[in-house]
Amino acid sequence: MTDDDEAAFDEFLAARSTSLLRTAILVCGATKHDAEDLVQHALEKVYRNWPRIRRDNPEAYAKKVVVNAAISKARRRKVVQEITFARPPETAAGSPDLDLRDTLIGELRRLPPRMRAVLVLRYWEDQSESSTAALLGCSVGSVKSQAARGLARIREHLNVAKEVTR
Amino acid sequence: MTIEDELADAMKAHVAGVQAAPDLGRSVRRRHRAHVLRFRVGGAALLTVAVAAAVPVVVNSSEPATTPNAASGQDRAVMLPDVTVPDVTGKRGTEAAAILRQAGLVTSISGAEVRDGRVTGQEPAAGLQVAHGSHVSITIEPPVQMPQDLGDLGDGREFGGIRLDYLPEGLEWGKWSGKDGFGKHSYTTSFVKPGAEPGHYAVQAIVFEGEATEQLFANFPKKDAEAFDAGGRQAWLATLSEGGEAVAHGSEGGTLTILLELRDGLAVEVCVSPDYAKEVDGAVELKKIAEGVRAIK
Repeated sequence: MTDDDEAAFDEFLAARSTSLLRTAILVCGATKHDAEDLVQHALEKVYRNWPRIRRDNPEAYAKKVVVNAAISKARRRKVVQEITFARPPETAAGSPDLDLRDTLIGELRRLPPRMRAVLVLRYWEDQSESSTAALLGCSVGSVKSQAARGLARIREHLNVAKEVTR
Repeated sequence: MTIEDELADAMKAHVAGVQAAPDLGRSVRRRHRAHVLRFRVGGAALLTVAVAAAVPVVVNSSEPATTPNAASGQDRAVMLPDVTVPDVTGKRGTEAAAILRQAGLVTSISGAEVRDGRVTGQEPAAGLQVAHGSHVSITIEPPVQMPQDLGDLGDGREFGGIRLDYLPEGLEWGKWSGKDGFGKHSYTTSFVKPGAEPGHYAVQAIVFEGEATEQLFANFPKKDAEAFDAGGRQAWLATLSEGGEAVAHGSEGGTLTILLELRDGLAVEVCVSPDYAKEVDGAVELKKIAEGVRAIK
C-alpha cells in the first residue's frame, strides 16, 4: 500500500463512511455502537483489498460488504429475531402513543433481515431495483417481491395498530 | 403520503443524527493489524505471508498513535509481547473486564444494553494472539424471553400437526415454541443440548401449513439443493448462507437445512445450527430426522 493509496483511503472514508454507517444501522436494526463495529469490520475488508479496488468503484464494493455483513449480523441472532416477529400483530405494532416514524422503524426492524435490506436500499438510498439486486446478489424479481412483501407487512401491521388503538 | 414515502421519511429521521467517528480510519487500520496478527497463529507457512503483508502497515507513518497505553504500530509489532486473548464468554460483564485487564487488554462493550449480564460473545476470539493493550469487545445480552405460543409440548417432538420420531441422541426440547413467525400457519420449536445458552439451538424444526408453504417453496433454493427420498417423500438438503442462498457444505456461517414435503400444503424445514454441525454429521442426522417425520393429523 503506497502513501497515495493510504491518502485515497482516508478521502474515501471522509466522503462515504457516514452514509455506510447509516445504511448499516438501518439494515441490521442495531444501535449505532453495534453498527459502528460492523462498519469497521467491513471497512477493514475494504482496506485489505484497497490497492486492487480503489479505482474500480470502491463505494459499491464497500456497500456490498456492509449490507451483507449487516444481514449476517441480523441473521446470526436468528432465533431471537424470528421470535420478535412471531408475536401476534396486536402486541407487535407498539403502543398507540408512539410517533408514526418510531412505529415504522419498529416494524422495519421486525422484518427478516434481507427484506429489510431491500427496503432500506430501495427507499432510503433510492437505489434502482437492478442495483439493489446487484448489491444483494439476487435477482431483480426477488428484489421486487421482497419489497412488495415488506411494504405489505408493514402496512398490515400499521392497520392492525390503528384498529386496536381506535 | 404513500407508505414508501413515509418509510423513507422515517428512515431518514432515524439516522439523521448519526455521523461516522472522525477516528474511523485509525480504528480500521488497527483492526487490520489485528487481522494480520491473527494469521500468525496459523502456522509457519502463513507467517511469511503475514509478515510480507504487514510491512506496509507497520512502516506506515501516517497514522498518529494517540491512543493512551498503546504504542505506535511499529512498537506494537516489534517491541511489546503479544498476549493470548482469554475466554470470557459466560462470565459476568464486570468479571470479564477484570480478567481482560489482568491479561493486559482493554475491554469495550458492544450491545445495546450495558448491564452486568452474561457475556455472550467476544471479539477477537479466545486463544488468539493480539498486541498488548488491544481492545477486546464483549457482547453482554440480557436474558432472552422465549415465547410459548404452543404451550407445554412435553418432549417437544409433537407440534404443528407433525411428530419427529427421530432426533439425535442427547438433545432435549428447547422449551419454547413460536407460531406464525414464518408466515401464517407456521409453527416452530428447537432442540438443544442440556444446559445450552439461551437463544442457542442444536436442531430447529419449522412446520409450514397451507399458505405458509408457498413462501417456503418460493425461498428455498431447490435447484441448488441435493434432492433425495425421505421415506417415500420428496426432500432437499442444502447449506444455506445467512442470505438464504445455497452455499458449499461446511461454509463459514452456513446452516445445514432440509426441506421435506409431507403432502400438498404441509412441509417441514429442519436445520442444524452451525455449532452443532461441528459435533455431529449434520447431513446424516438431518436425513434421519427427515425420514422420521410424520404427519399426525
